[in-house]
Amino acid sequence: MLEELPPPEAERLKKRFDAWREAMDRLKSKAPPDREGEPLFASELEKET
Amino acid sequence: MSAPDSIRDVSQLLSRFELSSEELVRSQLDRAEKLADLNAFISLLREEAISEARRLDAMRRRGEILGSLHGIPITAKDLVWSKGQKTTSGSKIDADFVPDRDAPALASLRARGAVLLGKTNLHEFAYGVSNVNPHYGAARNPWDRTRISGGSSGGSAVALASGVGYGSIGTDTGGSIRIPSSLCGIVGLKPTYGRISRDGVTPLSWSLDHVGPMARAVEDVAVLYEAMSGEAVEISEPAGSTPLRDLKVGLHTRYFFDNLAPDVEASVRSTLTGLEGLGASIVEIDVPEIEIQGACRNTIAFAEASCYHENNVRTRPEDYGEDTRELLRLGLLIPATDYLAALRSRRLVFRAFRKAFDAVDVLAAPSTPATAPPIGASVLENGEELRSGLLRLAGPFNTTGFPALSVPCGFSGNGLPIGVQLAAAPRRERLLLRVARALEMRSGQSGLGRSPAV
Repeated sequence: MLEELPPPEAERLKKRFDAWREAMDRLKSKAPPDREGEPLFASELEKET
Repeated sequence: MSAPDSIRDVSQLLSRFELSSEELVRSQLDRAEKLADLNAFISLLREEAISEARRLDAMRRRGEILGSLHGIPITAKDLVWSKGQKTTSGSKIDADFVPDRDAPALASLRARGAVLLGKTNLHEFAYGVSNVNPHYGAARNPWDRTRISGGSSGGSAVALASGVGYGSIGTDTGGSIRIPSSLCGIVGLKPTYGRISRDGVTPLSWSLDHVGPMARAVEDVAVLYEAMSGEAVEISEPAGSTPLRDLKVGLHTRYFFDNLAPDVEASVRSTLTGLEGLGASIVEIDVPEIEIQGACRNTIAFAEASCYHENNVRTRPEDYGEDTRELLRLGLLIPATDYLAALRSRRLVFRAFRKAFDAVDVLAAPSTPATAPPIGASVLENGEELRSGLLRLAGPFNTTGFPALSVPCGFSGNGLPIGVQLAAAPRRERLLLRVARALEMRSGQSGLGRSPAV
């Protein structure tokens, strides 16, 4: 998608994506171990709350 | 004609036939038109509202009362579907969308006699916190028209703060009820996830979206919440009681008190002292998982919003405002594995907060780290980027789905409202309303009888 956008828009989006990626990598370093924790989907959240 | 401020007071006038719903609705519509430059509304429903008010007046004369809102004018954010009326979601994409039914949240208020005055302005598709809308104009803060209302339910907050409508239906995906409530000096409740139906409300992010009431005072929010949720709510306290005796109030200093504008910090800390004066005790808590909830919530919101908008953002991107379009494109870049990783982490955050609320009854924090910035500003007074700054303190309770509300607690030196946020464990809305009511009574900060000079 980035290649299809005009350069200023592509640059802004890339910057935003990189910031998100960095935050998500930080999150993953603290995420549940592989064998634990299923995704908490909306339907289950509604039941849990 | 100036009408009383609270639902209870105006209901008494209506029931004594000292005021008709038609007179009330007409005066409210006139006021909304006079204040059109605030951009609170996308559409005013003059003919429909007057016709409905007449019908309700006739019923009252026959002794038929629909419920607690009989003849009371309200508004709804313009992504709440209203049968036969344009529901734009603040967008060009849905500019001509006319639903064939009411959202249950709106239907529940109408069933109790509420009259819909109009549909309020919002950030485009509720995807932002400034309410600077490229298609319908910026909703202006009635306390200072050069400043934002906050969003995305900004029009609802502006209408209420400027004395139009006795309540409004808002939605909240990362703070969109609480942020404008805080910046405009009104009360807004984001209930527990799923407590009020999201059906018939154009989604932003299904698993983070919440529907809730906004009003000038806690007692009015309670009336609306009762109608929308079906849960009976009694919040008054016996005279002379110590209303919050034995209440444990959580104070999460790290994160929620980091980097606050000085006036906000002083006002919220004074509110905490006020809570102690009402019999509550303050308990320090710390939830380490708070650090990951922002990325968790952002990832879920980005992916879900882009899923809903994928076709339109690919085929007619020019019909979106710049900020919304960019966020929607960002969401298209997120891998499914990251979306699922965010949902897995959400479970951690959920469990951690649930445990924290075993030790305290409510958590008190600022609703926003700063007061309303000028329209066009990209940073808040405390130096934070506008979007992430305004979402920071409200967002955790969308990630968890726990109930939270914002209630006015003071003013900054330059006369802008400040809100305190109260959050609790799932389904403890009644407790939140009771604590908020006690605070409101003590501080005299109720939105009733206190309005900006508009």
